[in-house]
Amino acid sequence: MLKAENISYQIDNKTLLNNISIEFNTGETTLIVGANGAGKSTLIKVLSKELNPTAGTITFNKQPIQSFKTSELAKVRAVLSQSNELAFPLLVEEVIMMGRYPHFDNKPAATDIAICKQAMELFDITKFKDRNFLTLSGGEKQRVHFARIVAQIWNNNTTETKLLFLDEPLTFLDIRFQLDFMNIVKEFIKQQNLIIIGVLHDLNLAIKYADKILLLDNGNLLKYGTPKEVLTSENIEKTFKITPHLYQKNKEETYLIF
Amino acid sequence: MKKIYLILVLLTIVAVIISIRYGAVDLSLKEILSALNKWFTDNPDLTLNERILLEIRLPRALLTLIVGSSLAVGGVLMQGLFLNPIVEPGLIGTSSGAAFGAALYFVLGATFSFNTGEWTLPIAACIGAMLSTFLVFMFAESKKQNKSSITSLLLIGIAINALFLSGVGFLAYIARDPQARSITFWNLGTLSGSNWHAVIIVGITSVICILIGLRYAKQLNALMLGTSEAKNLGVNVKALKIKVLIVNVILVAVATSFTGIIGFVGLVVPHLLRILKGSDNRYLIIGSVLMGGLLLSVADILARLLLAPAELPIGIVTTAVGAPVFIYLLRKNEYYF
Repeated sequence: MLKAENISYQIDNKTLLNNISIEFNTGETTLIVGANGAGKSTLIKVLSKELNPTAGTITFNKQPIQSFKTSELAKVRAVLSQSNELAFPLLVEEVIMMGRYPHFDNKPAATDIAICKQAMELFDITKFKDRNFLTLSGGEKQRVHFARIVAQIWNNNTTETKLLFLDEPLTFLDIRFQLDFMNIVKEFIKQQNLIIIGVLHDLNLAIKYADKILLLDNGNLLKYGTPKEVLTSENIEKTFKITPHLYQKNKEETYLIF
Repeated sequence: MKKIYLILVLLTIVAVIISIRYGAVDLSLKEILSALNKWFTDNPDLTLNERILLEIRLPRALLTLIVGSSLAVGGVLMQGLFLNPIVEPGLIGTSSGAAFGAALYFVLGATFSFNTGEWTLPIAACIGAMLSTFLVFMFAESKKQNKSSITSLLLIGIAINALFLSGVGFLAYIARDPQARSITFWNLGTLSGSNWHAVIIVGITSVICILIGLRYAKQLNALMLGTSEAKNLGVNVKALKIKVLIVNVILVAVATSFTGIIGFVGLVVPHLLRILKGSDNRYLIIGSVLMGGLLLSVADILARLLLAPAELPIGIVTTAVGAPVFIYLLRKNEYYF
């Protein structure tokens, strides 16, 4: 369980996050939604320990997250961001093996190699494992990074909780791969004990895949709950200054049209 | 990968044999074997040719290998740290700082007596290199972004190089003749002063530094993804940068302290290795140990044979060959940037 208590983040006298308290449960996907500048990425960075909150505490499995060593935390916490740069040419296989770096010293063990293989199969990229990463298309690169991140926290035999952060992960993907990716993430959360916290821009995808939605407005937590509870016309109007039409396809599926 | 290592080892053996056979006096294989035999059996009864081999050629061949390896590995570490394939010790102030430290020792060493014996020169070079490299690193780091852009790094590098080379110039100007000559030779790079002391000192520091560098290979790989991605993979980026920088400065400064500035090895070797088989830093470091030694041996053979019986400073050879190769590589592999 990941728990944030009264966290704030300020920089240069600007408050980016203001007194946010929230609990994330194992097995749940929480997606953070909000207008540009609402503090979505900052919240991800604070929760993943990339930034330290200026006030408040974050605990992971009842321990303060500050007490985790960077190298230890890396075994159970992975972050997928939208950047997909690489400074030098490497093979796809080598990039994915980087995900296992926190787990071995010098040479990858047989489990590391096996996990990389499984991760590549999961994202259907086994066929270009011997290609130079820099020659891939933007979408292919992002899939390689997905596989790397998944390999990082992949664990075959324990029940320990792991954290997966997704910071606008779908930016470079076309719609088919966006859906594919979210479906794979859904599969993955069933196999492993995961807490998934992500930022998505597409509200309809958020409704479709989130267990919980966290609505941020100017650094404040406006609303937290199931998609149905949070993404009401009223709340959307308040944060995005735009009025959506709700389209009820059937009992389960609701879509927003702008 | 193993194939590449094997080929490099075989070529290196050939280069070493050529390098100890030919020179102002050509030695026969029989003489070489007999000299080595006497060396291992501690037989002091040596002919002139055998003494040339054991006291001049052999230490020179070994020092060439070690220095070549050190410079190439230094290039890999710096490129990994700055995430840029065109960084080498000469560009970021390390070499000019080492030159300044060494010049200071040549000119003032006699005035002050240090009790560090054979280690004085490498230590002086290390201190100079440490100073210049950290100045470059410090000034190149932008306060706002908390990282150094490659442009500011190169420009600050030019400025600091100019500063330290003017210091070297000043020392050469006030120096008396034999000292000034040492400085000039040093700036051009030469292996003609090789002896067993140099082999032992450079050998020990290089082996230690390269082994330490190898330990950081994985973390440097993670850094290729960018600073925050590396952090997410559990790398303490700040500590890594400082440690790798210190290892690199010691590696390059000690090697340079006995041979002077030898340019472009740290640039060309990693480039060639990347073209052969990618950029995994572990492979690059091991490959650089082998290929760096090999290329510098070949350059040394050229330096001794081109104008035989006179000898060219090796820095002239590596730069003359390295600069065009470097330009060619830049033009051919634009996607590196």
